[in-house]
Amino acid sequence: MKHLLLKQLRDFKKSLFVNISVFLITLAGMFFFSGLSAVSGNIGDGIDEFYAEQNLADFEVGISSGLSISKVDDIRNELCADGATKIDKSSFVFGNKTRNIAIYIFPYKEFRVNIPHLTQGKMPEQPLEALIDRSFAEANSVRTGDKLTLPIENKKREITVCGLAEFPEHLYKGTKVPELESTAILKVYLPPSQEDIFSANRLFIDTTLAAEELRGVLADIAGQSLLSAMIDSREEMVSVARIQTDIELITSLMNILPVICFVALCLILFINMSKRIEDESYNIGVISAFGIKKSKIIISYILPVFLWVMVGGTVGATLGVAFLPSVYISLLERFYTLPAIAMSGIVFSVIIPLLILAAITALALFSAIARIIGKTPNELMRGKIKNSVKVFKESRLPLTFVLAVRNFLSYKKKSVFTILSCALCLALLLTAFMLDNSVDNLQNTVYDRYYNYDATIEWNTMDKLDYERVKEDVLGSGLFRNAKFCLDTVARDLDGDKTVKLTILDGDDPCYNIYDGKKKIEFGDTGVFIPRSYGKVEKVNLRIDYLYVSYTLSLPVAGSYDDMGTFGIFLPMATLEKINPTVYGALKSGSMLQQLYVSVADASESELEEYMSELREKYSTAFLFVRHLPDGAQFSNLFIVLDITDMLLFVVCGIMMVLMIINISCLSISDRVRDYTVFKALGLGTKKINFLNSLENYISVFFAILLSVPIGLVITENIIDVVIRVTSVFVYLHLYWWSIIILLAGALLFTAVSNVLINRKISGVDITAALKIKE
Amino acid sequence: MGELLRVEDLKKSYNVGRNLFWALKGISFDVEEGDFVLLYGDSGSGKSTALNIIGGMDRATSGKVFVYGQEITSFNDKQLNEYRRDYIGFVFQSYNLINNLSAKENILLVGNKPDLADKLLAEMGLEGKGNSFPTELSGGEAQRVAIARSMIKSPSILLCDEPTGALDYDNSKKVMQTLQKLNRESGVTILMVSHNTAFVPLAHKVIKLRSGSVESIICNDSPTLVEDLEW
Repeated sequence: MKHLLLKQLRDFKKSLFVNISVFLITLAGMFFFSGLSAVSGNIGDGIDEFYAEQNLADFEVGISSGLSISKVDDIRNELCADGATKIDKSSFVFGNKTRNIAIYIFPYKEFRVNIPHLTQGKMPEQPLEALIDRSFAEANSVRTGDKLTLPIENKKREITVCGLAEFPEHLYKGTKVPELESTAILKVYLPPSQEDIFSANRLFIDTTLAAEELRGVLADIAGQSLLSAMIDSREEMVSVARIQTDIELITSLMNILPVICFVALCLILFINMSKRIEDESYNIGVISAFGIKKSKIIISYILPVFLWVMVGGTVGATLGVAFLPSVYISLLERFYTLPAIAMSGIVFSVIIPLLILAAITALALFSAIARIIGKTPNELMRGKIKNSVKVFKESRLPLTFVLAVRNFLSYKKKSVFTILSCALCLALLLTAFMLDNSVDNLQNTVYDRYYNYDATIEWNTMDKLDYERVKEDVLGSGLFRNAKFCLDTVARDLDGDKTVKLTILDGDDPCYNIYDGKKKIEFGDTGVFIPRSYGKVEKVNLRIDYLYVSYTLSLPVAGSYDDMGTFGIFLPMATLEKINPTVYGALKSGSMLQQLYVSVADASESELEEYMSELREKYSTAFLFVRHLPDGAQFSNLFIVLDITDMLLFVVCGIMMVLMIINISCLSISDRVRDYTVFKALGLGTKKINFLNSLENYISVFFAILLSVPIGLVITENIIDVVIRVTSVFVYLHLYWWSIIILLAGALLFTAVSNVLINRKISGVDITAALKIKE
Repeated sequence: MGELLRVEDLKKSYNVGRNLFWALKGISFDVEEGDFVLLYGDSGSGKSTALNIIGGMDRATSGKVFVYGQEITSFNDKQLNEYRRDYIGFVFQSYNLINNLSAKENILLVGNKPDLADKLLAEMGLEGKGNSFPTELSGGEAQRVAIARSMIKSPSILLCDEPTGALDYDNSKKVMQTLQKLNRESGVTILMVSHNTAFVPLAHKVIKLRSGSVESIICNDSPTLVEDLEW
């Protein structure tokens, strides 16, 4: 056994390039595999710990019907909830500047949810005293003691700044507060005696109760009013869901990389090992003839390669757990402010992927070597006589072409390897291009075309407005290109009992998702429905049998609580008309509209501010503001993640191309050294030999291109499926013509580089030595 | 007949580990046009090395080889390739036919002359075998295809490296008959390497090598016919 292993180790040096590529591809695969295993679990745990440490809410209870302060107080006392917060958003004037402010109104003395750190002054103690964000105060020269007039709950109230504080970044459930210099957080202490009804109130509850228990308690306390409430667990909160979605998306996308690397590894191992066994058949026969057990022979062949793979895997796994988490976290930190993530369970993140690698490697190697089992030493020594391939027999085709085709069919391992490896690389390129083009198309075409609103004007009021008049006013200002009222994000342009006429170009909500128009509308679906042929269709009529009515409608009908889900009801429009003609009428007339989506024309900020002041004066009961929606903001994370996925695919594809080309070259030379040598000995020109070899490779690449299309489509469809599943954004597959040109150029480059390498090796072959070896 | 080939003090060394091994220690001989020359000796005597250098497949350490007065030992790779293409025909011990080409295609690969290929096949006694593939031919047939392949270019000299080394007696005899026929009837110059002393009577000139040196050169004005020879 010792000498058998010694032989293998000596042979091992001979296949240096193949072994280096095996090492590198294993390293790459394990780098991603172990690194991802280590980081993905720990990030989730880290965020949970952060929420627990920061005393952030476990549940969000939205109460649409409104609760009195006393009811809120009841809930708080009963549940030992950490706080009850009402969120409002507003703008107010500091000197001549209007600023957006997030107002967090605390009806109670305690600030137990997201405790601010006081830097100046004192905490609010008296009614209408306010704590203001330090950064904002500094940027706007606000001092302790200043009095500000703010619209709070539709009433103008004068508040006194009693202190400055630094607020936790994750004040609002894990969402980083943006641009603290222009957006401030204000905590206003309201008197406990105030009996204002909290319409659309939200309670953030930090509790140890399960959702079901919480629901029971709330129902007991609030009675019927909770029928129109929703309870969302932490995971369902927007910010938590978003970060978890992004983690899932990134992990799912990046998981493709180890899979690709392992497929490539199996391919290289299987092809090279079976080729080696074929070449070594005589030696194995001789060794076997001496009475050495087959199992020992098999082990001696498999063991060095197996150990080599495991060394590569261990190095990759170690590098993966050491470096990938920080890269991954840096990536996430582009979107979020993350707490410190403690890394634990690293050992398992290394060991489990290594075990999987060991299993894959052993399987690939054993499959390759299994053919020697059951063969007699004589059969092994005789080897396999390669049959001639006889296609194009007696044809008038050029002999070089005929030989290239026959060689392609004859040297199956090399041809299969070339086709598969080239197809894999091309499929990755195709995937990368399709992702890139689809995102680009979504951003440049679909986004600009369908999401054509970049601002909203909202009425923070339940009072009725003359909507047509408002719309005319707004459009008449000349500051906006178009304007559209939307009831909510579901129903638009109601027309008839059961049919909603959806006008794509006029009325799309920029904040919601795109779905495939062919999909049947089902319960729970919301969004803009765009048919696949959207490129030519500007208007589409969709039949909507059911309307999702959200809790904000406060319908007096029986609904159902979906465990941990959103409470809501699905109503056929006809039923809605019967049950609640008022709401139905309101829906039809659009009198419940509160948001006007507009696209800002070439207007300056000051012009908009001036116009806002005009509107405020005109509609005294309404509060209006403009909120710019940055281009593609709702998809920005997705686009960044897809861009990075693209980049990684290109990098992995580049590495794989190099490794595959080296392997193809090695296989081509080892298979064909005798033929090439004979050609040279017979005086065939180098150009002719090179042409023959190149032609054979181009035939392989032709098939690789054909194969790469379905593989690429499958990989891309899977990635897009992940994107759709995780983000609910429908990404329409798109491939630009120039990408196809680049892909074909890539295929030709792949072949050309392989040809150059092979031809260089051929020209360096020592004829006499090569002939001697074979003879 | 003029001089076709002249070998002057040809030496060839190899590095074997740290030692220098001299495969040829300075051999000299010449070959006239139309000669059948046998280069023979034991294993390791340097006969194949000499043949490879003469055939432009290997380079000498020192010494010179002249073909028609041109010194081929100073040729670069491109010139050597042209030399092999235009002047040399090779017959190997293991035939070295291209497996995926039929007998005729193997010949046409070297020179695209279909009629001549058919004629050569006929001369080699291989009528009807043109479309057979190497795996369908016997050893003797395969070797005769290899000879026909080398003859398609009408080479100045046919270099044969143990052409019967892998054949049985009958096939060996057929191959040797073919070679002798080419030499006698077509005037093809042949330089054949063999360790088989039985072929000595067949050659016009017999060069015996021993340990990289020429031990003897014997000329024979009336070579024996293959048919009359038993071995």
